[in-house]
Amino acid sequence: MFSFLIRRLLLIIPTVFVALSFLFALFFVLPGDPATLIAGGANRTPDPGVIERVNERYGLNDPLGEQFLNYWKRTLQWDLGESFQNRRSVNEILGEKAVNSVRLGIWAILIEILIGISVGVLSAIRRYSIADKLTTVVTAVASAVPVFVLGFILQYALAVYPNKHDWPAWMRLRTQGLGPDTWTLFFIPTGETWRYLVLPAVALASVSTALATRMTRGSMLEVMRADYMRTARAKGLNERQVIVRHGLRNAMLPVVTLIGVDFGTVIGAAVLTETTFSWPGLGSEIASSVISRDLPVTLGLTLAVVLAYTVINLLVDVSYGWFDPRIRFGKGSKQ
Amino acid sequence: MSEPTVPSGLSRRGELLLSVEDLQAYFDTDDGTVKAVDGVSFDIYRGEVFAVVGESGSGKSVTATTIMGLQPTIRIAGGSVHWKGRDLLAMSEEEHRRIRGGEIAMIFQDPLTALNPVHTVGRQIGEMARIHEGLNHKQAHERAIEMIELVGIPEPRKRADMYPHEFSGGMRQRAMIAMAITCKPDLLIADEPTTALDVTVQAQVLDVLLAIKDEIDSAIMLITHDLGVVAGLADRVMVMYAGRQAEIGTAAELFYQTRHPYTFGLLASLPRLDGGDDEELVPIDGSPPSLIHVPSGCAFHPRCRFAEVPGRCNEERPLLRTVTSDGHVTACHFAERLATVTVESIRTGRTEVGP
Ligand SMILES: Nc1ncnc2c1ncn2[C@@H]1O[C@H](COP(=O)(O)OP(=O)(O)OP(=O)(O)O)[C@@H](O)[C@H]1O
Ligand code: SF4
Ligand SMILES: [Mg+2]
Repeated sequence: MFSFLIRRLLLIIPTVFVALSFLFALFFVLPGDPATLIAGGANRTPDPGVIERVNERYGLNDPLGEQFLNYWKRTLQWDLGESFQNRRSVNEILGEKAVNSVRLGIWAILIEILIGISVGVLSAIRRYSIADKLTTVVTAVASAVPVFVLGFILQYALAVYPNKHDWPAWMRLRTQGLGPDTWTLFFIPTGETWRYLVLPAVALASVSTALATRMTRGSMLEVMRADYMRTARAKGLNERQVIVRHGLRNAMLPVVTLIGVDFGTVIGAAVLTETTFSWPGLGSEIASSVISRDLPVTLGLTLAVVLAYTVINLLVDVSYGWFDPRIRFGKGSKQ
Repeated sequence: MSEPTVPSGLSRRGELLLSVEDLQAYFDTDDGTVKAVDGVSFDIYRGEVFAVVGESGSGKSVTATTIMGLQPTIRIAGGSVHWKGRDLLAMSEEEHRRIRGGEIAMIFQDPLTALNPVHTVGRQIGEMARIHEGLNHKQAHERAIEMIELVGIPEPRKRADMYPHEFSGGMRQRAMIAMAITCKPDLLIADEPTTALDVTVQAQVLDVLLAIKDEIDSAIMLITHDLGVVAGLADRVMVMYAGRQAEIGTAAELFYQTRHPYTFGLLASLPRLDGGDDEELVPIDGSPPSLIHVPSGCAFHPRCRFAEVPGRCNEERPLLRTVTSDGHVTACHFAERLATVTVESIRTGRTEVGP
């Protein structure tokens, strides 16, 4: 178990190195001179003196190799630099945006776990019922519709339309931003904030929830045919006990892997979702920093995301051992 | 239900536990009705080993699982199943559930798939005591350890905390047995308990099963397709063919006073019990019929070397009737003619029968 952890942690190093080196290289390959873009801003021809000062300040005159080395030296000390655009420290931006992303991400994953698993299980138990057929159709559609399309549909149906037609206040959701930004226990919205949270969280969760539902259903159907379920019935357990005590955990095995992978999907989908809903998180910040060629911001935030992703996956893999004793690492395990 | 008569060959006259009468249990499928159990009658008494024998697909498992109430899609077309005088088929699911596991327990063929891979063996055994006797977690764990010890698994305390995949095949089946006997059931149904095991451990597991039976004073319904297993263990034997009962009697009656051609067929396909000279094993020609399209008359007639076809055998279904003793019952029109037939004569093909 311990050596497994060490190996996994060591694997993070090449992952992060390759990912960020690639981004770094991309920055210089893209058309346009970075300094000009930074100094000039939108469509202005900048003063050559300004360009010179910008190049000086950010070391953009140094040979590329040296810039690359310097970048890694600073990064290893967690010095992420400052934004080309507004000179704010990237660490500060990271702290501010990460909070919003984590809140949104928590809700997306919660929706995936709660809705996906419970609907999947019920759908399997009530196989061929109307509810089951409906679930099959809805999940097929939801997993095929791109996040931003769903985002626009949700915005129109649950926010724009109700507002235009003066629906009762509680039915009108918000489409842009954080609202009052009030929370308790870090992730539970209070006051009006929930109106702002619902739509981006649902949009972000949609694809993975649909996949989790389908996978839970399939897995549960398979488990219900298993011999040990018959054994459980033969013991005299009632149907609910058979499913809860013997079926669920076995049915969860493939779903746990899926949810682990989904942390990655959610991070990717967050770029689109946050942009669509102007949710000020890491995703929309990375997107805008790429557009404005704000290299330190892009690199710093991406580094944080990659690290978070790797650590979460590690935790998921470790938890998998709890779900399935057959792959438990270390003591006494065969096979 | 008429007053049951205790079969003569039964050495110990135990209490009548299970009484199945003319049970007809069908599956309605898209291809037609599968008559998995079609008119089967037998009794099981406390203390005996009652073996059920037949080729694959003859309805042995369905008979057992119907008694257990583990066949949600089955249609009971007729007959009755009484457990200690109570009608099992008529009782509520809740009542049946209390009997299941507690009074009638079942052991399945493949102990690896029949045990839950994500729970420890101790927990799975203890669960039995928790649901039927209301023991708490700790008591159930202690009981599980006791049971594991009883079936002869070394280091029971350590083993209780291990998972099925950490056990060997024979040990897993012992664990299954331990689970089944946790609540001291009156009847233990073992559905091919050794088929999935190495030949070397088969005998050990059967020994455990027998010892346990005496220890808890129960009965065993032992399902197998291997008459050889039956020879040394069973008090009485029921031979099934195509969902029907071919012959039933004490082990001695079936082996030495055989009155059904199918039983003869099974015996002839068996290596000789006395381990004598290697005579050729003679498998029964053909294969068992589909239970959707069972042959007319006697279901065995297409494969029977004594059949009169065309004649009674393909026209009239033979009724069960008593032959050499009270408890020896067979379903063959010409049972009496078989009195002079021996297994050896079947093997060598010289089967002269009387008029
Ligand atoms: N759920 C079911 N639905 C439809 N048919 C079934 C079902 N279960 C069993 N059958 C059929 O019933 C017949 C008897 O099956 P059963 O399992 O009792 O045979 P068996 O004597 O136990 O054979 P084996 O030695 O292979 O275990 C078979 O033809 C089988 O295909
Ligand atoms: S009734 Fe006829 S076909 Fe059936 S077993 Fe007897 S002799 Fe054979
Ligand atoms: Mg079977």
